Amino acid sequence: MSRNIFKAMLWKEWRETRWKWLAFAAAFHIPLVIAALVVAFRESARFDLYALSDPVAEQVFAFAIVFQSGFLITAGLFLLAFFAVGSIGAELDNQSMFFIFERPVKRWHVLLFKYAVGAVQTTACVGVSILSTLTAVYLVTAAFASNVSLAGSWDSFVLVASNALRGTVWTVVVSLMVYSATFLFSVWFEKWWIAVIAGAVSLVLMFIYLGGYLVDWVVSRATRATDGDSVNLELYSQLEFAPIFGMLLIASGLYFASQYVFARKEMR
Amino acid sequence: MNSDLNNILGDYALETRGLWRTFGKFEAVKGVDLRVPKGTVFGLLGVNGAGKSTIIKMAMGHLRPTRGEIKVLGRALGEDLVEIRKRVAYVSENRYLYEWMTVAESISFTRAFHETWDDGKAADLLKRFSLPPGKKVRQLSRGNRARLCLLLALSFNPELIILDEPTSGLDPIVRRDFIENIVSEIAEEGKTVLFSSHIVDEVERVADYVAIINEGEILLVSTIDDIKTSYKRVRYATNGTRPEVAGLPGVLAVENGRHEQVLTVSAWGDETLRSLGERGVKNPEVLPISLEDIFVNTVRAERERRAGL
Repeated sequence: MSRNIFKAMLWKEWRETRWKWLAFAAAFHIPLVIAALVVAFRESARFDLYALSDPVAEQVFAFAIVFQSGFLITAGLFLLAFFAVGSIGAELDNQSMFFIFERPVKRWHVLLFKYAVGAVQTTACVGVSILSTLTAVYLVTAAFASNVSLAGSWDSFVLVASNALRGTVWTVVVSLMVYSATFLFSVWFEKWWIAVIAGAVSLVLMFIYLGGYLVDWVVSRATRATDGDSVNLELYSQLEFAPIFGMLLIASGLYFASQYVFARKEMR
Repeated sequence: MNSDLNNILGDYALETRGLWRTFGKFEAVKGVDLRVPKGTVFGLLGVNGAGKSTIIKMAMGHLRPTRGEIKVLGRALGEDLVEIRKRVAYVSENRYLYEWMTVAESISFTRAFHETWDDGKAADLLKRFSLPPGKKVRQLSRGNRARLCLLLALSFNPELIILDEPTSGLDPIVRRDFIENIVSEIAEEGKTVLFSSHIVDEVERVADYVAIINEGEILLVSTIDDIKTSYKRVRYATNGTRPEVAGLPGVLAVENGRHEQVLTVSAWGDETLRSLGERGVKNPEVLPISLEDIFVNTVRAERERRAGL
């Protein structure tokens, strides 16, 4: 694929998906801002920021961590069907993809490009969602809490930041895997809605099969202290290589399966 | 146009050998051998569902043949499809375009894919076709969509232009302009045009060669001139007794009037004339025949042959 073709394809993707980005940003961030403001203006939400380092605050954090991870792994992944199917399924369904196939460009280059663009979109959306949520929470807390002391809140800030980064990496990897599965189905089936159903089924099956492990990897195992149920927040900032590598391997396999299906696909 | 020379040298823009394609149990194309000489206008003529589009889609690499070979501009299709597409323009029946793009954006987008893109030619065609650059594709009429597709196909100077039912859905005025002016002009530039149609009249107007396809088989391939020389309608008075002509070689159709009989004959010549004389036919009158008559009678004769009539 020459530079000119790459630029033209990138322009087309941007023009086709820019409203999706805007819709996603609005759908995610407007409720977030409203919720943050509502919480911030509640009298009970105005607490001493210095107390974040207290054991009581740690319990609040533990709940927040589990809730945030669980929410992003499940609800955030529904975005993937939106982007995966939109990236190629819709073009196959309405046959506008024929326009590209009539041009002198290799088919697998087109699919690689579409996959890469969709992967960047989905992982960026999921990643940005986590970071913007945490940023909003922290900013609102800092803005409305009393007795703000940098020295007293630094440790809790580090925990929040490291938690955010780790959660981002985990969720991006999981989202890449699920995106790849949905992408495969959108290549396989010409009707976009079949791909959506197949993608949703694969997502559910993946959670049934890997669900316990995923939650363990992402939340429980790292956050449980050796003494029992108490939360070890320091461990939460760690990443494990094996499951991340495994998920990337699955994502790659699903991508190559998409290429295999696509290469044999006829344009009737 | 050096079609005779091309035939001798075997220099074809498109060549298929034993091309088959099945969809499940349905045989859409059955052993098609086709040779499109370079620098000619070649019409694929057949009713809807005859297999024209399937042949074209296989030639463009969109469908895989069940068996058989395809060569485009001397290259086997499997060799390098990208290289072939650099030299071949294809306008499909459905005229695929991105609906949200404007005319100018469609041109700019397509330009990026072709190293041989000619900006001057694109600008000329834009002006000639009176296409509004700022208008979105979804707002274009069928005629303007067809013109835009043609502009995109011609502006990179392809050697072979394949048009699949190019006039489908167009009104008669646009259709005639498309066929008589545009296709003829392309041919005058020495390019090869392969186009499919079920409208006999438009094939007859511009094609040098015609292939009649029915139910996936080629029934007839020849130059229009040769066809018109060999195919004739012959009318003669019957005077109460009709001569037995059913077994006469090359008789495609027999029309019986009250006092006359009209034959459509595929290989008119002295031998046919003598055979008619032996059957008591006197003073046969040879009438001009249209390609439509030839097409209809050829297809009908084939169907009757298959039905065992």
